Amino acid sequence: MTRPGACSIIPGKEAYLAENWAGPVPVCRVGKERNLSAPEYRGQERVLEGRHFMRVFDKDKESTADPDFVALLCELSGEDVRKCYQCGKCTAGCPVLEEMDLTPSQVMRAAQAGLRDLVLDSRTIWCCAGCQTCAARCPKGLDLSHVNKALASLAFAEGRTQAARDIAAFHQSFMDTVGLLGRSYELGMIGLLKLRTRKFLQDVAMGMRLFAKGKLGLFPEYVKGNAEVRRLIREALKRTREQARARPGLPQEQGAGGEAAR
Amino acid sequence: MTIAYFPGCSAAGTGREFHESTTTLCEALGLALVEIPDWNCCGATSAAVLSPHLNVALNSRNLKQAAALDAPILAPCAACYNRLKTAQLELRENPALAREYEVPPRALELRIMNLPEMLLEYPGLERLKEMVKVDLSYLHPGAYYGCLMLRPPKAMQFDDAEQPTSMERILEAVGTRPVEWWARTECCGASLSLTTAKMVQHRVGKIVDCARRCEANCLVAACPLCVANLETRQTGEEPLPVYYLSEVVGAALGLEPAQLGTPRHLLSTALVGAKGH
Repeated sequence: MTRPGACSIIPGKEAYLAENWAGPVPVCRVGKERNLSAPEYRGQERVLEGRHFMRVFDKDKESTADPDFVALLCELSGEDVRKCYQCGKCTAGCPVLEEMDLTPSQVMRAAQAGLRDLVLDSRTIWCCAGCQTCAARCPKGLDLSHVNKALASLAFAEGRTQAARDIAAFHQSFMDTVGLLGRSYELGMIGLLKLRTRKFLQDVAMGMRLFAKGKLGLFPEYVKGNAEVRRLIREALKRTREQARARPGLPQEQGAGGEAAR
Repeated sequence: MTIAYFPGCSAAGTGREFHESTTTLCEALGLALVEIPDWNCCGATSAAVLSPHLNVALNSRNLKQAAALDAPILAPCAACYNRLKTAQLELRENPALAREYEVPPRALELRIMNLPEMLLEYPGLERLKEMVKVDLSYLHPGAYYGCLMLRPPKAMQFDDAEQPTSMERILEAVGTRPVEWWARTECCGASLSLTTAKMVQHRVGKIVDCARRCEANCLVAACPLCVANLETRQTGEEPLPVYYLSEVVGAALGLEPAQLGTPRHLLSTALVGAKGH
């Protein structure tokens, strides 16, 4: 739509950087025509064209820049996302990079730029194993697993888990058993997971071996105070949804709380 | 010495031998384990994915339950240890949150220990050395720490996050010969095992390969999820056996394999070399 480095602008809509790195990924909301190669935008242009955005994004996947997004993310994750200066140490040491679409440092940059849809629909936020290698090494003391999980919880609240349905179904099934019993229950969790993903035959042989060794309890253990645990879970989920809704610029009714609300 | 025990959900499932060996070992060491009454799940990885508030919410209840015992807490599962400690730190730093969840101040001062941390102090390396009854010098374990015991370092405050030594020191004290290797703190893939098995297979393959090249004849870990992944996602003809730290220490102290849960392992149901090589 435009040549690299320039930017096509529809007044009142988003500004897009062009084909060189991303396809139409908007940079910011603008009120009038702007040329991003103009000197006053040089910083912005460089930031988004830089080596951390080398990956080519899906051209059909447009995303909206949301100026309030970074504040919401800071609040939810407890990490000051704005501090990230793109050194790339998190990406260099990430053990699950092979499963990701955006690198961890790209998620940080995109979040800073308010590219809400881009990060919320990314597979990365679900693939983060929470090993916290990045947290141990980040020179700015940020814990990216907190950021990824906060993003995943937002995606959950909005019911947009299509980037990694299996992983979302796993977490949901796990917490379903905790909500019901107060403790996690492997056999029940696996059953729910299989119902949700419809992959009934996966790992059945492994399950049989574990069962033969007495390592898959047939009957669940439960907590006497499981009603209290259920209440704690319900309130925490409610609080996340309210935080997500309290921010202007976010869609109000999308997904209506998502499946996790049940 | 009384120790408040937080077994974790895996104690009744895939981590059963960890639970069995830990309780047997503590008994032999003269430590009285008292299970925290009516404890609930720590939330593991999944809680934080559903809501960032869930970790503190779930573990505030656990800390309240533990306050009644007023003893240092042993959480052998690395995830439970990590979640309890993270929640405790967050509550300590945010008194308003502690008031909201009605967590008594005493609960915020309780010490939370993982298994190596406990062994280094109760009974301590010197005492452990004296208690050794069985020669395990044929064991060349690769001590595998995984993630959650060490990271994030500012919350865990246990050992060095990149170059830990606590498990090696314990393994050496009980007469094994731990090898030097570098994949000790690499992630095994954790809870992604059920959903992205290929990736976990790849991770586990790399870890095992490194241990093998550094001439380890087994891996020793202290996390039920690490052990489950290392056991179930290893491919190849001759898989490297994986044991819990508590099993190896217990075996050195002359405890029976059946009491330690060793026969429950999927790969090797006896300590390597126990049948005479």
